Amino acid sequence: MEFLVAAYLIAWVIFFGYSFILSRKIKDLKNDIKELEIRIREDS
Amino acid sequence: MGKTDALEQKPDFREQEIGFIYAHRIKLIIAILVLVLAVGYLAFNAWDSAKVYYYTVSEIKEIGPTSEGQFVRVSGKLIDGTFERVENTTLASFILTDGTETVQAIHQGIIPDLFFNEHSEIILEGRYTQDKVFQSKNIIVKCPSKYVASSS
Amino acid sequence: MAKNISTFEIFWVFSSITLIASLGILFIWVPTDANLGISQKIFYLHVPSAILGMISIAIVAFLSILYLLNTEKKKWDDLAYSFSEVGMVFLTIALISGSLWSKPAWGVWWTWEPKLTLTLVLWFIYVAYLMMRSYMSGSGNEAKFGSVVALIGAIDAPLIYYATELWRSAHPGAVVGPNAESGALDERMFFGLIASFIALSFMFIYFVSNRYFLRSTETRMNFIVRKLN
Repeated sequence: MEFLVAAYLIAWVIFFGYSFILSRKIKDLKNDIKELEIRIREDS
Repeated sequence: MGKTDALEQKPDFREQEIGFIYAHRIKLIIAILVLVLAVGYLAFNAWDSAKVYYYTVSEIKEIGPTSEGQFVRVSGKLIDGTFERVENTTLASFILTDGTETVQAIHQGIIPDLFFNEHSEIILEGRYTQDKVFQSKNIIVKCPSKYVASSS
Repeated sequence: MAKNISTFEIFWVFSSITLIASLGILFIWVPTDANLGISQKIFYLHVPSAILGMISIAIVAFLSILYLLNTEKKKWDDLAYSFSEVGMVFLTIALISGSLWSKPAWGVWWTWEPKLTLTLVLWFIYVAYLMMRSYMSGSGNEAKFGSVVALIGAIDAPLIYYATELWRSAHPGAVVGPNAESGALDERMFFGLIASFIALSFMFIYFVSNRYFLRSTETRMNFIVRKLN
C-alpha cells in the first residue's frame, strides 16, 4: 500500500514540479518580450 | 537567471559565440568521448548479465558449480512442501524445479511475500556450490504474466 | 494581455477531468489483482507513462528527420525538442514507479534484466539528447547530432517493448499491443488502463504544447534580437 501511495505521490510531484517550471519560464519569457518591445520602441 | 539568452547577448554575440565554440571544441569532444565510453562500458557490462538474465535449473546443472565470486541467476518453481526454515534463524532451504530437473537451494534473509504464490516463478541470485547447493543471496519473484481480478 | 481561452487551457481542463475520472475508475471500479494485491494498481501509472516515454522518442526522431530535410522549418526542431523533454519526464515516472512496484512484487528495487537495462539506456539517451542540445546550442550542429541520438533511441524503444520475447526477463510478457497474449489482462483492468492512458496522454499533450509555445517563442525572439543587432 505504501508503495502505491509513494508511486502516485512522486508522479504528482513531478507533474506539478514540471508544470511549475514551465509556467515560470513562460512568465519570464513574457517579461522579456515586454522588455524587447520597449527597447524597440525606444530605438525607433 | 530568468532572462532569455538573446537579451543578454552583446551586439557582437555571434562572433563571441563562434570563438567560444572553437576554443572549447576539443575539450567538449574529449568530455563527450569520455562520457560515451563510460556509459558504453557500463552498458556493456550490464548487458552481459542481462542478455542471459537467468539459467534454467537444467542449464545450471549442466554448467556445474560456479567459481568463487561469480554471480549467476537460476529460475524455477518452488516445489510445494520443500520449504523449511532453520529454527530461530533467517536461513531457509527449499527445492526449485524447471519441470525436468530439481536443485536444492538455501537462502539467508527475508523472503518476499509472493515467493509462496503457486503462480510465481522464482529467480535466485547467487552461487552454485561444489556440494550441488545453490546459495542464494537475493530472491527475485517473477510474477505471473496474467492479471486477474481477485474473487473477493 | 487579452483574456481568451487558449489551447493550453482546454488541454489543462481535459487532462484534469480525465485524470480525476480515471483515478475514480481505477480505485473504485477496477478490481484488485488476485496475486499482487493493491500494489498492482501502480501498473496504471507505470505502463502508460512508459508507453508515452517510448512513443515520444520515436516522434523526436521523426521530427528531427523532417527538420533535417528542410532546415528552414525551425518549428519541427522546436517541436522535437519539446517532445524530448516531456518524453523524459514520463520515462522518469515510468522508471520510478517501476522501481516502487518492483520492490513489493519482485523483492528488489532494481535488477539488471533486459527490459530494465534497455529502459535505463533510453533514459540516458534522453539525457544525452538534452545535454548535447544545451551544450551545443547556437553552434548550428545541435539538431544534426540530436537527430542521431534520437534515432538510436527510436531503435531502442521497440526493443524495450519486445524485450520479454527476445530475451529472458523478470518482466511479465506484454499485456497490451501487438505482442500481447489474449486474456493476459482482466477486461475491467484493460478498461482502467485505457482510461489512465487517455488521461496521461492529455497531460502529455498539455505539457508538449506548453513547452512548444515556450521553445518556439524563444526561437522567434532570438531571431528578432539577432536581426536588431
